[in-house]
Amino acid sequence: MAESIISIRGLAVRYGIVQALADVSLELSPGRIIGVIGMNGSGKSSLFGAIMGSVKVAGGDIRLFGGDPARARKRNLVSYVPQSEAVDWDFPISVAEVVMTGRYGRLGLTRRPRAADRDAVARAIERVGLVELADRQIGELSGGQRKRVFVARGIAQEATLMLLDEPFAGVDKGSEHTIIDLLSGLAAEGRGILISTHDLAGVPELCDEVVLLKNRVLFHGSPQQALTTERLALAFGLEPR
Amino acid sequence: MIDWILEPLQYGFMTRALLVTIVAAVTCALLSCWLVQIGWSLMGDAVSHAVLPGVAISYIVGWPFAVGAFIFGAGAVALIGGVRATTKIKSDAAIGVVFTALFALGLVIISAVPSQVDLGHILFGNVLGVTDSDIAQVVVIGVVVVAVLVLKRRDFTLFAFDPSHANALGISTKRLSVLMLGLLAMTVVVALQAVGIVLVVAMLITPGATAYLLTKRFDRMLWLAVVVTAVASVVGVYASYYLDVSTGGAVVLAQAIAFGASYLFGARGGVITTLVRDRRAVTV
Repeated sequence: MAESIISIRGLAVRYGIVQALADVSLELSPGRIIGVIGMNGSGKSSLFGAIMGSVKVAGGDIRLFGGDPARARKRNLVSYVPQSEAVDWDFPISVAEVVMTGRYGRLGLTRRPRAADRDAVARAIERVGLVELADRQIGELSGGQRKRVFVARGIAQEATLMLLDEPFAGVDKGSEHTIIDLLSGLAAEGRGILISTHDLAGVPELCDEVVLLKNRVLFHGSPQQALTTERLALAFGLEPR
Repeated sequence: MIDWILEPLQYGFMTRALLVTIVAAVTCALLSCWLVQIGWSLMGDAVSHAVLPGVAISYIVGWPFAVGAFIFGAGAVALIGGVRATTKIKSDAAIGVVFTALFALGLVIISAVPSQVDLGHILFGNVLGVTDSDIAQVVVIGVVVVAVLVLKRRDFTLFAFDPSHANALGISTKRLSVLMLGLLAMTVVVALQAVGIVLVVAMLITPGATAYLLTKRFDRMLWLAVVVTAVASVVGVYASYYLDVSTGGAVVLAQAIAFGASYLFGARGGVITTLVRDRRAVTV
């Protein structure tokens, strides 16, 4: 069996007296797409933060590519697509410039790009279908195009783990399919993809596995098994009838 | 016209004032592009006021003014960070408490110790009276700050735009923010020679805000900030000569006028630009 991309055992995250995550275990294998579903405050952000190293882990163990997460990040293996609210869309930066930041971990002190980096950026932009828009300021894009910019950044980075925070929020149905096709193709090449979402859009079509999260793992299995009324009611805090 | 331009330059104090003002303006203009994007404008205000005790002590004990100013500027940054990290006080309150306390300490020191220190000069600038030693400090610090900013500009822009991605690549945002705050403290030291403590914050915010209204690209924003600010500063120095008004005041006012112009006519949603474009769209 191929080595796990993410291997989490008994993860706990606490903020003061608030237990954000307790006893979370998760395996992500190459080529797989896992959807983490839960409402706001269910610990999705904490889980992503713990994987990214921006949230302090109170207990348990996280391994990326079988080793230390910090080392995996240094090796450019981890990419992150932020949720729309976390991005300053008025920032004076173009699509191509954002995608280029995916190369920064490979560049020297001043991050001056070389020809190979420009090629990688051009290929990534082509892959996500934004060639005509490469010189646009990022605020001048639609919701779906905005998401694809950051996916392109992960491609240019040559990351094999992609984390996407709410990839379908503010995205219309047509673009949703474009993104699903894109991510499925990326996974098929051996990447591991973890998405978080608080609604179910795109989940059955995209995800191989679903984790229902409510500060602990309520359920982990196939989308068909996860997306039953009773299980969702539990995840979203309603009392099952 | 040529005479009009050359006349002030035959006075040593005018060439020195021009040099100091331009170095300060260029240094501030570059830094301000990142400060306004990160949202650290208030930090600039805080650091500039907090250096007062440092400047006072430097003059009293005879250090180069830059040493004391930098110590207190960096100290203020550390104190603000410390208060923020160890209490639940909101960021603007932490900044407000620390910088006013240090500014007050400066006032007390100056009033308690009889010396040649002229509070007015420190607060409102005395660029016509800068000494050669002041100029040397300004130029050396200015060159160092500009060099670091230019070399690390891509990292700083990433830090301003998407710090979580920087972290994902293992690029330390903590180190970048410490570096930027250090540069801020150094820049304040340069700028207060040109316009005085009270108006330093204008030099740290207005150029970036002006350039932001003119372009949608960060690299272009840097250029525009530098050019617009340098021109405005020269205009300000000449205006102060011919109209016999405060140099610091004239320089900052000229920068503010440049901001006003880009507010009205800027490519990026200038008020008049938008009006004209909408009118055309309607007639077409």
